[in-house]
Order: sequence, then C-alpha cells, then structure tokens
Amino acid sequence: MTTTPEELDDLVQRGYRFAYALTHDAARAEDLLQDAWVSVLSARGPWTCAYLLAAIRSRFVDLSRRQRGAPFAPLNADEIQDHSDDHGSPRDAESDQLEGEFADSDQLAAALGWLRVEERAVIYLWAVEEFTAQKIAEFLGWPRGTVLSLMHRARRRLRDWAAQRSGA
Amino acid sequence: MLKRQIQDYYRSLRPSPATGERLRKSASAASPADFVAAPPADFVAASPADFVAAPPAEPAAALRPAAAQRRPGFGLALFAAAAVLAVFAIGYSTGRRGTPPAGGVPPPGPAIALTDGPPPASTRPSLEPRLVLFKMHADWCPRSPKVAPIFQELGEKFANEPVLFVTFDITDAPRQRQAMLLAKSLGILDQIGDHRGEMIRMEPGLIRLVDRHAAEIVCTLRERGEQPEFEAALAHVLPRQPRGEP
Repeated sequence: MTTTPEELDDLVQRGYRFAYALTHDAARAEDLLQDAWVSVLSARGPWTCAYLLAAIRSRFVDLSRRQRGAPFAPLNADEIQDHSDDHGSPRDAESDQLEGEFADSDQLAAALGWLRVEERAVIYLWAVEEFTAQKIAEFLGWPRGTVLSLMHRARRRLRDWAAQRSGA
Repeated sequence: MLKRQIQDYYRSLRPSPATGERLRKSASAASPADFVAAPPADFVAASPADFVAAPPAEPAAALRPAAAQRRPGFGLALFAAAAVLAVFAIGYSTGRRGTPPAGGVPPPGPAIALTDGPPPASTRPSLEPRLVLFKMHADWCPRSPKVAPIFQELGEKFANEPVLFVTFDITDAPRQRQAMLLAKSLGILDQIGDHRGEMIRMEPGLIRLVDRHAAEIVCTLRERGEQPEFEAALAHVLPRQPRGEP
C-alpha cells in the first residue's frame, strides 16, 4: 500500500511520464493522469505503479476510441516478424548503434514524437520502466512477438529519422 | 546509448507543481485504510430490539390515515387534560362530602389506572434473535447471484423461526463500512470475515449462520450442494418451541 508522500510523489511522476509517452503532449498527459488518478481514487486503490499505469492505458484507450477510433494501429502483416527466439529485453546492440545520433533531448523528443503511439508505449516501458518484452506483452495484452516487432520497428524509425536529419 | 538517453529524457519530465500537489493531496485524503478498518472502539452498538421497536420513520408516518397522523404531543395533551379534570372532579366530590383540605391540595384519591401498561413478560415474544443468517453480496462477485436464490429459499422456509435474515452488501467501500457498522450493532462483527489485525477481509458470495449468544459460526454455505447440510445444521440449532395442546 503506497501511502507515504515520497511514494505518492514517485507514483505521480511515473504516471505522468507514461501518460506523456502515450500522448506526447504535456497538457493531454496531465489530463490523462488526472482521469486515471480519479479512477484509482474511485476504486480506492491499490496505489501501486502497475495499477496506475494500467488505469492510464485504459483511460487513454477509452478517450482515443471516443475521439477517433482505435488508438493503437494494427501492425501490417509483412512487418510482423517472428522474434520468438529472442529472450528478455530487446538486444542493446542495436541500440548502441544509435549512440551519439541524438545530440540533445530536443532531437530525441522530436524523434519520439515521430513514432506511433504503440511504438512510444513499448519504447517507454522498455527503457524507463525497464520491463522485459514478456512483461510488456502481459501489460499491454499483446503477443510477445508483436512487442518485439514493435521494438524493432521503433528503433528502425528512430534510425531513419536520425539519418534524415544528418542528411539534411 | 539510446536507452540511457530515453531514460534521461522521460525522467526529466514532470507534471506542473499544482497538478502534482493536487493529486498527492487527493490520494492522502482518501487513504484505502479508512474504509477497511474496523469501526472505532467507542462505537456504541444498539440492540437489535431497538431497531425492531423503533418508531416508524417519517415516510411511513405519511402513509398512515389522516386520523392517525396527529402528533404524539396532541394525544399527550388531551390525556393530561382529562387526567386534570378527573383529579378536580374527585377533589370536588371529596370536598362536597367533607372539609376541604388546608392549602387547597386535595387528598389523594383512589388509584386510577391511566394506562394498560406493558403486557406481562411471559406473553411478550422475544425480539432478540439468537440466530443470524446472513448473505454476503457484492455486485462484482460471480458467486453472489448463485447463492441469492438459496438465501431466498431459506428465508421462505424458516420465515416463522426466530432467525434474523440479513444481507451485507460489500460491493464498494461505503457499503462495506455500512455492513461493518450493522454487523457490529448485531454483535457479529467477528463472524462476518477474517480479522487480520485492524483489517477485516470479507468474502462475498456466501451464506453464513451465526449464533449470537455463543458468538460462533454455526455453518457456512458457498454453493447449492451444501444446502441440505446447511439446513440440517440450522434445524439442529433452532430453539425447540413448546408444542401447544390440540
């Protein structure tokens, strides 16, 4: 049970970051966090990070459906690859190839904004919450192979974005 | 490293101070502990007989006939006036027969039964049930709808027995608290759930028979198959009524 002010503060921060990862907009992230917070309040907890993140995701899906249809676009069949032989989190070797390509946080923010919602969500859960691919799959309710495909595609898009920038 | 860059980027994000403060305060004000904790120790439990003998509430009074809707004070005033007139009449007749007492105070007259008084204790039925049969219900519990018809059948079958049938609704926190207050007033707070320190874990979707005097759980029913055994246990602990002569 999270009751101490420090734990609540940590919960607010993590909830806001995840909401920002989904919306990529500060105002919408705050609105989303507040909506999810109210739903947790109504349910009287539990005040855990997993529960809050799940509430944020559910609220985001509801809002997106109400506004303009499905929030997470389906993967194209040709983009889904079989990554079932991969274990744990995606390989850091590919990530290392991007080292130094983002000179500052503004460039990284722009690149993340260029990603699609589901890609940003997966990237956030992997990098910041340090979830494994299996845990991301369980949390989002997707197959593990889909999560790994999303990770692969997100990294490729970030690489493409960085290449375009350097070329320009 | 990309992962480190993403971590640093997201961890630098913060909501506005006003929003963060508001969220923290709202969570602190609604701590989950305030709805699952046991009722306060200084809570004064009322007797179940008080609930049975309590006067009807206002909505029920509004449904009574107009003649019966007089305020209680009106009847009392009428009764007091009649009593005063009776006392004066007795005093007047006594004064006509003898010497008026000094100071104008009439001598005590014959005893007059102003009311019928309560019936003898032997004829008054007991309003304090020894047995409480309760159902734990929650809207979100898949087992609750299954035990509801069993509870209904038991209520019809044992309607004439001195058993109190109660439903505790524990769907959400406010109703959980109401259930605990009611259980405490009935004296069965220890029997409605598992006590873990200051917390009470209440399980929905069950029917339980409690002996209030012995403060113990007689039996618990969770599914239809246990109904015969439950009824047998209930019939076994029912107080034996003296059979009247034909």
